[in-house]
Amino acid sequence: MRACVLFVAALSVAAEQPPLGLDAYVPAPGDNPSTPEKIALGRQLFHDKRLSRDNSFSCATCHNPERAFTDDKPLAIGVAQRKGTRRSPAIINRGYGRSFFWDGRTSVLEEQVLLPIVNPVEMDLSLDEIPGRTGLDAKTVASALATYVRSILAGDSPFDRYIAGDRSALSDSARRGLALFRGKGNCATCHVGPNLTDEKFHNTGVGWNGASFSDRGRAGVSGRREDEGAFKTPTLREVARRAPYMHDGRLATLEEVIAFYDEGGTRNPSLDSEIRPLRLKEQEKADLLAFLHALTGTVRQ
Amino acid sequence: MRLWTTLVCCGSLFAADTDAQLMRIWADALTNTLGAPSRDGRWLSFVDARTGDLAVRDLRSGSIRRLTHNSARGEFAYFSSISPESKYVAYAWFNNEKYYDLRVTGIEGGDTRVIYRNEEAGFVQPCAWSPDGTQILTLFFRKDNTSQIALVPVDGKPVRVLKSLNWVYPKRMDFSPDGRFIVYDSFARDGSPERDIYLLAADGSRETMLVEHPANDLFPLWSPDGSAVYFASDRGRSMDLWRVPVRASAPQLVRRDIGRFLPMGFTSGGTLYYGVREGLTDIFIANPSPVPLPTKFRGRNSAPEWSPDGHRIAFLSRRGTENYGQESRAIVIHSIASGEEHELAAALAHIERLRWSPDGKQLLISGSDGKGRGGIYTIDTGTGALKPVIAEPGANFRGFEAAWLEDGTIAYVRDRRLHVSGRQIASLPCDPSHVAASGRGKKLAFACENSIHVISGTGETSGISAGQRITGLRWTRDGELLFTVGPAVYQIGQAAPIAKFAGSRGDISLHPDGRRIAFTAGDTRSEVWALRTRE
Repeated sequence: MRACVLFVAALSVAAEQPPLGLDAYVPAPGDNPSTPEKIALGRQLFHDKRLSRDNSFSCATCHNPERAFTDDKPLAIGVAQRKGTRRSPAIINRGYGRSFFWDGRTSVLEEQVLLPIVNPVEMDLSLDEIPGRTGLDAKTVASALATYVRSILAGDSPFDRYIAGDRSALSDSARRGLALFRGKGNCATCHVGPNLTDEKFHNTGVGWNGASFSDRGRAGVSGRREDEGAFKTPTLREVARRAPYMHDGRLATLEEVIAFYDEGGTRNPSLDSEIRPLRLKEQEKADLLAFLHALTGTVRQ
Repeated sequence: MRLWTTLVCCGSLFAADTDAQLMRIWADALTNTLGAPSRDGRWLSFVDARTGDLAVRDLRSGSIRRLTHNSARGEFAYFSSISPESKYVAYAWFNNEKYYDLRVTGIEGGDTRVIYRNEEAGFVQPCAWSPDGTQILTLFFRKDNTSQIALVPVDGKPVRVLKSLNWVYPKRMDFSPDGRFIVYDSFARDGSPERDIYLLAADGSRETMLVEHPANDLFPLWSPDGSAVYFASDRGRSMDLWRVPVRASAPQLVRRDIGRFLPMGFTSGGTLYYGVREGLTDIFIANPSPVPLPTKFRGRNSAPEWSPDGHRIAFLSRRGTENYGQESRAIVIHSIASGEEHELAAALAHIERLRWSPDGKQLLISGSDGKGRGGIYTIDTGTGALKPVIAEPGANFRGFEAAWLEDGTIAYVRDRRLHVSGRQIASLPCDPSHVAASGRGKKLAFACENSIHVISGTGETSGISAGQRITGLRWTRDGELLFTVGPAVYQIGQAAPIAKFAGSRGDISLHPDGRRIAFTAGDTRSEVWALRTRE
């Protein structure tokens, strides 16, 4: 049994109102409260190419603010054109996240932000090299980068305005798409809440080659058989400008994504029980697409 | 402590007090526990069940004043909370568009305003006023069955959503007396049925856990002086009242075995008002005189269902001691011959109703799952394997009305449309409260409020007025249609009831021998209690 000590420490800077549709409460560790100075430092580091081995690119190269903090490549490309095995995730609203990376291998943003820097196929730097490049120790860099990432908030879309009570914010087609999203499409089973993700791991069959998965996904972290080929549900915010799609970028358009789910994903031994053929009509697919476009709003950075 | 003195000196107004600290304040047919006391201890808000109107009860005189007068149109009040200066009442109002507004009205009557109206927030529960009286801490239960902790300004300014909780809803939230924090309960982990207590800064800047324990900790309320949070917990096997100081100390037991508890609020003098659901319900079998079904789960059972061979009876058995909302219920299968019982653990958030499959191997369940989807499911009575037949986000947590047909297919009603094997086959005049399938006649009967509609195999529909609200519907093996109105069992075509079972709720099930009838009977009632604390 435990009763926790309460708020003896000073509260962090009173939170700025987030974009419409998002929670005011953005979780952050007690030892890394958000400050304007830290956000500014984190933004600067996010764009700092000295954090890569050959000074050729920064975090922002793959997580481009102009593309909802991802890029247009199916798979991430690191230093010396080294090719990764997964797509660069869109790092918007990650302050609300419970785990990070497609396989959720860390649940602490302060840890997550350093891992691409030290990954040999990404930025390929060692922690020991960070002070020499930036004049800051690795912990300071991590704290600042994590604080900046928490400040990247996407909301205020037509969907958010509709949810807030503006019945004219969605077109008729998008409104029908929302009903499908929640109902027949079964999308809201995983894409739930203000950030449109359950932050959990699901096997949709992407990457199944008929005998095995090219990428074990969550199972590579958990070691559990039922996690084979399971990847974290991504947010759907700004999804219309985040092509290509899925964890390996294999689907070029949202139309292809809708068709993939309409067919019930790819059958495999660990297919999530929520994934099943939808039998959508053409108009329904168009309505769903209209709804997904209505998730494009503003990204505050 | 003027209120307390009043209560003690006017003991004749109230039921007997067996404890100097505790008094039963109100226990009659009108008692309702959806409201709150005023800080000055003068008023208790509640819903007048006769009309659905919001009302306040004068705790000194026992007199009642209705604050709304619109319920004739099918609208009604629900949860309410009284402002700090005892001048206004914030309340949820089920409006004529069939969702809930958040409204404020003067405690003397009049000055009614709608302060939040949004179909997307389909259910709103005002939990507490901010100490300065400018905002109302409100739970939004959205159309997609996700919930949100929100602050709704009384002056119409934009709502601030502090935190979203997906398919979990706090049982209770409260403001700290200094207005800086909010206390609420929520599940500690995904898939866990046990709750813990959390503190959230009212500006959204941070959150921490106040009470963490493997038991179920819920219904938190802040003490008037801000030094402690009171909450209910079943850590001591019964549901007990606990108090946790907010500055680094272990919880202390305040009162053991508070029953099916629903906190209503504190007065500024430290008296905690709360509701209790009292009474027992059990399964009875009439042949023709009713006798209780001998079961190890006494006093918490409902919804009996005979198996097709008549050798077993399935029923629902409440688990836990929570007072309202989506009760946790287990499925119990009772062998008539041996008396043996086994429990089926269906991984569902709520179970409303059971129906045996014609082969006696499965049960059809109406209810909802842990992702906020109402629907119907089947459960294998041998293996316990659960399968959804249909589950829809946003559908009522009670699920859909459904029945097995003789060929083993399932008929269900969704949005006034009858589906068989997933295909829509007919439109209905209502979303029925009961559905029953005949055996050989292949007919389906539906209850719509006071009327019964029968669809034959040829699609022909006929309507019958029962004249009263129908509480149960069953076919006999001989093709006669029976319906219940509370304790009275009627046969179509006969004006007088063919049987009456005292205390029956009307959910009857017929044994295949045609002689025995199982039903639920009991007496449950709400009471309001006041506990004088040391705060």
